[in-house]
Amino acid sequence: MVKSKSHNFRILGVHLFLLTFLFFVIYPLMYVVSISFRSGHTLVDPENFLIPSSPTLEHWALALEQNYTGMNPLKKDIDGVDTVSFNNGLGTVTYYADGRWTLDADPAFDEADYPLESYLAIAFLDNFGERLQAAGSDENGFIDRQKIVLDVADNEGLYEDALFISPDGQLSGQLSLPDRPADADRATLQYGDAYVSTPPYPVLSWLMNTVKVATITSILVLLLSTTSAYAFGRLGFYGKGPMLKTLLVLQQFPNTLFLTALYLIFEKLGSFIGFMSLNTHSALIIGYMGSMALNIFMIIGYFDTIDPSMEESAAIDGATPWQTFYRILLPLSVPILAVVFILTFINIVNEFPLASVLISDIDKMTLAVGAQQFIQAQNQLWGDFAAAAVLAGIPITIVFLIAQRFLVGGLTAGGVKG
Amino acid sequence: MANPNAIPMVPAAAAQEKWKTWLQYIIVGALTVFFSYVTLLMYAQGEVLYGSLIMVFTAVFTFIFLSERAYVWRYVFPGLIGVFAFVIFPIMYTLGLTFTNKSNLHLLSFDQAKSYFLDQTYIADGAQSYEIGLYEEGSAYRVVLESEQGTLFITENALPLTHVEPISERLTEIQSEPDLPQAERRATITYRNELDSLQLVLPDGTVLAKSKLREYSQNYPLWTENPDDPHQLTNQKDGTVLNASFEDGFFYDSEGEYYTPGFQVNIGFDNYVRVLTEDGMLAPFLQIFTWTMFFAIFTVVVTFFIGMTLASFVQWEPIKGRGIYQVLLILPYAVPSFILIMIFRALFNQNFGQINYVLELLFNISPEWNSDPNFTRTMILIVNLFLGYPYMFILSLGMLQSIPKDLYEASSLEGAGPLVNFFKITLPLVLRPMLPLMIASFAFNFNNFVLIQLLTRGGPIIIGSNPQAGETDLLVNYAFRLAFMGDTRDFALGATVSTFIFMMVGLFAVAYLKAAKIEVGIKK
Repeated sequence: MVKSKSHNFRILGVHLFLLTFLFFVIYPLMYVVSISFRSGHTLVDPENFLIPSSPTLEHWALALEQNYTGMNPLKKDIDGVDTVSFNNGLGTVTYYADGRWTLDADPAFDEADYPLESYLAIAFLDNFGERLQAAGSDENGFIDRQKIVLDVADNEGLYEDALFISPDGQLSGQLSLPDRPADADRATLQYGDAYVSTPPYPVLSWLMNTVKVATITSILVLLLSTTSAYAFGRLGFYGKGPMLKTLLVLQQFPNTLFLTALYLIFEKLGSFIGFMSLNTHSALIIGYMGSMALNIFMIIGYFDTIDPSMEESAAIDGATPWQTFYRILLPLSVPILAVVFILTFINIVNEFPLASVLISDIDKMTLAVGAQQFIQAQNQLWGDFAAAAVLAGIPITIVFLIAQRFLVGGLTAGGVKG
Repeated sequence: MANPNAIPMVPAAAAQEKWKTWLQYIIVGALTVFFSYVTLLMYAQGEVLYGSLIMVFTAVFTFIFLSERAYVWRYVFPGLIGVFAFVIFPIMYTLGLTFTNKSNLHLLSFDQAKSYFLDQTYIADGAQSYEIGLYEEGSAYRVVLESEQGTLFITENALPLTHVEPISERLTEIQSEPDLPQAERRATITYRNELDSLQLVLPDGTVLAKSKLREYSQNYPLWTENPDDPHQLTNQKDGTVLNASFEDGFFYDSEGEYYTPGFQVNIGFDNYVRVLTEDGMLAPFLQIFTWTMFFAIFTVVVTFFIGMTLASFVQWEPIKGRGIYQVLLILPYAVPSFILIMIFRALFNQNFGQINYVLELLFNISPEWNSDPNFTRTMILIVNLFLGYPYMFILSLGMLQSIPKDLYEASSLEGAGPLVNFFKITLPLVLRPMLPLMIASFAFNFNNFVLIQLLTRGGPIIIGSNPQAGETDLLVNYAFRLAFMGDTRDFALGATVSTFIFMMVGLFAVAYLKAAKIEVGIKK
């Protein structure tokens, strides 16, 4: 076939369309990665759209349940004052008008969070509060910037380019005061305020809870739906046709519609049977046991493609139904079992309504519920949320992408992601 | 049992080994004992409904796992129990709730509400009061009371003070302070709650209860029951008479003021009448219903066309890098939806979001994504298209592969273009097998609770709705809002809205079964 010019244009057009579409698909994903590296919790970085202008690992440290030691740049006006005294997180700093300063270390933080860092410098500001270049200043406008590190005394040798101070120690120094530039509005003492932020939420526990609940639920669902599918597909018993249809109809009722009832039922049963009480993972897992009709149906469909003659000959040789099921049918059905397992796993990871109603302890939450804790009406920790979301989302996404070629067949059998 | 492929069920062939039989008896026996114990516990607590259900369950369980005749049922029983306990029973429970007035104000039964009143006490004016002293004895404490006349009483036993359960303890009189270290003064604050629930009984039988932080006093029941009329309570302090009203489940005084807590009563079809006639409910209900239908239909139709178009492009052979396109296009399906929805909430933030930042820069507009109902709905639709198209894309990929290639070759010989091919060959061939899946997708989106809950929580609120309803609520979110988000937590009203959804979902389910032509037990 002769390739015409319009043919080439069409190919180009399709590529352009797909790339544009993909931009909108992938942008939100890159965006969440970007906020996870931004300092603070801002949603818009006016200087850059995706690359953070002042990147930090703070949110990631907190998502991994580590304390993060950081430093906020702050300043004090020094025009016309004799002494300025303030706490920079390392201890009390006193600055005298002639440029001398002392630091009495009295850190408010635990030794495990050392080293703490700070700095001192003079800077001249213009009318807008921007730092000015002056004699002896670096490219940021700091004059005579002195880095200070606080650590335990044993580590003193590690810091050669910085002033060292140990807890309860004292340090003094001299800042040079150059001539004031003509356009300077005021002179300031610039310093770093050391802080230690602690993880606001137990993200790793949430991840473990989610994996635990989803794995156990998937195994149980697999177990129960396989045996049920065997009975429905291979064994004869009274009323199985209507029963299977009923199950399929019931499957269409999402549990959100009867959350109140589920909550009240678990409240009641839990007061008699310990492992079914509210706020336990076992109750949550048991609560998920109602939704397996679709799995049963998918497995029956697969069983139907397996020739029953092998099982029949096994039965003639004296195998029990359980033996034919366990030794013959199951090994032949591994692909569909994998599909059911993965689908259930992903559904449970994404499940929100039941988990949010049954679990109220922060430590026991699953990710889907826990991730909402970051975003409250008054306190929206978008940065911490983003780090936690990326951390948790990556493994789940990878599992899904690896599994997706198995899934196409399974989905066509009628599943809808929850 | 017209299944020609069924394996003949001859459990006689299943002559199992002796030890296995014993194991079976032991396990089934142990579980039966456990369930019977739970049944007894429930009956003892007066939980007749749950007790009976568990008893029936125990009997069926024991029969199925011991009798050879019920052998087949062993395979389906656990699954069926799961469906019964966590789908059928909750649905019936929800239907039952709709005929009651169960809400935060009406949580208790009549007897429980009455005993709540009867348990209230008051301290009569001028009653003798006793000052508390705590003395340590090992890790436990003895409570010493000193009357206004200086008489000392001590508890007969040392109390651990670790439980906040109501307990009663006898006192004996002593002549001097006990020879024990006195606990610090703030211990009465530390053990405030434990002491609150501690009743002390004087040697003469007078019951004392804590009246102030460091004081015990004699107290009297605040309410007494009318011996002739069990529905009437009298206040001992001021003489108020309360009559229980079984119309709406409250205790009323003579002036028509109600007293909380109320109790649960059956109110017949009142909830349905309320939803269908009350001005504050019917209009929001209809509005929400219309929006829900529009949302579900729009999502299914548009995601289908997006998915189909993308699949046609990705399947087109001259396109290079089709594998990469395919994986990247599936990405939104692979990332957990609760994360994606939150990302969009950040992007669409009305004041600080990046979308409005860009719109402001380029066109100098900033749509009110969070407060204007129409913009909020638009945002929801955009986000849901994003979340929903990959599913249709995956399905379309599978469907397109099953269309014979020679159809397209034949049509191209006739000079047909790609658009003609799409509408005359692809669409008609794909629509039929896609129909049941589209119905399932419709049903899913009709109840897409998580999207709305995480993105907008249903807001903004519909003006004039009472109880509150949200402009972007789907029906299922409206039911959730009534039951869990309002001040009154009206479980019954939420259940009533759920019942309307049950009917809709039932229709979808039947349509799904019809479209999918589901047959059981008959193989090709």
